[in-house]
Amino acid sequence: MRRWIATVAFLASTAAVNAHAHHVVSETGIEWVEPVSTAEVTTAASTFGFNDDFSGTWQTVAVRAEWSFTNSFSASANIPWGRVRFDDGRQAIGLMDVEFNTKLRLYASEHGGFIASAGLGAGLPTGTFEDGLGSGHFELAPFVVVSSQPRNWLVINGLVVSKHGLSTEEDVIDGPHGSLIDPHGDVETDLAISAAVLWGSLYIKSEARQLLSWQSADQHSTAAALEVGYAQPREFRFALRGDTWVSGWSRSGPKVSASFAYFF
Amino acid sequence: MRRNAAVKIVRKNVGSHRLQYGSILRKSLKVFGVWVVMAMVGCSVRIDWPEHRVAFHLEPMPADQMMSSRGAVNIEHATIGISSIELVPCETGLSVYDLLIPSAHAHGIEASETMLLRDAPIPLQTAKLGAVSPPKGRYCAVRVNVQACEGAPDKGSLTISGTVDDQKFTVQTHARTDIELPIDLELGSDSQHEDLVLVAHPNQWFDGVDPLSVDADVQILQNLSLSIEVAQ
Repeated sequence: MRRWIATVAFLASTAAVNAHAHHVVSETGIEWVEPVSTAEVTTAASTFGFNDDFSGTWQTVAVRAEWSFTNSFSASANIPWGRVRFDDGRQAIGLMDVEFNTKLRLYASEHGGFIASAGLGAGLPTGTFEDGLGSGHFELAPFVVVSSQPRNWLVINGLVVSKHGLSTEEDVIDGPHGSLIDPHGDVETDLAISAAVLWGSLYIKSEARQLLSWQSADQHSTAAALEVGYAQPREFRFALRGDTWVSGWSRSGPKVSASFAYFF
Repeated sequence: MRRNAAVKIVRKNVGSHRLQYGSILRKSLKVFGVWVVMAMVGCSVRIDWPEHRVAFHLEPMPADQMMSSRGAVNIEHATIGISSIELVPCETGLSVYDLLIPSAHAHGIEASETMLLRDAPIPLQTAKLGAVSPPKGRYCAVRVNVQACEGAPDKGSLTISGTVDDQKFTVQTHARTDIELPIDLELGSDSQHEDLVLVAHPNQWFDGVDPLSVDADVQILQNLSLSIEVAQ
């Protein structure tokens, strides 16, 4: 029995490594559309200003790890810590909402011209709601992600996420719904499309994002992002990124982030 | 001999696969272990965070129809001068100390901890008035001081303009009134954030009042003081 378990685990783990060799998109190391095994550290900073009582700055550090069990299935966890500093001097530092994701590869063309995956994310209310670090509710987020590399120097990526809050925490009056760092509606659809231009190991990526709230049109938001990075295929990736809300509900000030990902 | 060598090569390959499997397993256990450790340090720390925080809000209830002695009133603009809001601790018996000092300093509480000072009048709409960081204890009332704010004394303690009986009117007063609203607020040893909402009922402001009369301002201010309640 042990030999069978060992064999299955061995085949699964080696299959996960071999499968990626055929898919050009994942080889770039820019987008991880299909299941891969990675560990990533991201740090980000921005401001918030919902009203006089809820304004200040925040910084976060998040550790994300994804483990590809087979060539078509992976699970990941994202554990973020945050520091919220209000303009009146109050500060809170601690764990934010932990997220778990599963991802299933739906389709991959022979040379990675087109890859599609789908999955389910779950957010746990591990951050303290009163401190602005957590949303105060469970959240489920089914998603579909697709990617294509029509040219050797171009990678296009699309993402659709539907976020569903499972319980409604009573808002702090005049405060945002959800955490101060990631305010959101109860039910939202997140649409994102990006294009990355490669130049050797360097790349530059632009992204447009639309958040549609199902509660109120006032909570619709449009964002744009620019990312530059250095990626060594199947080894590591370093990226610097800037995000800003360009129209609709401005959920934060301009956000800057840096991330380092390691493939294993 | 050659066959044995081949077998050894095969065994060596199997061994390297076992090594790879073991390495992956060890890595995954390490990652899992790190997650567990990180989850265990999932507490938050507060810095310069007052133990308790009580925020005040104003919420005028929508008035379908405001009736005065002259008929239906339509308010076009209204501002209230709330110069201070104070949390009043419950009485625990009078002492010589209480008799000698003003009530705001009773029980050794600094006024700034329980009293919110404002310097601008508030339009009649849902608004956040501010917050105080009171010490733990039991509070039995909220004292709202309605008077012309220091930042805009010309606007008076109450200014209302509108129409009644097809005639425009403007009522303004500089009179002052203290409104004491009962609450039951216990701030214990655990950190608390409380929201107290001053709910105003403008449909009561013109009860029995002629907005065009000379003494309308005093009567409206009196009605206003009776129309406010606190929602916790």
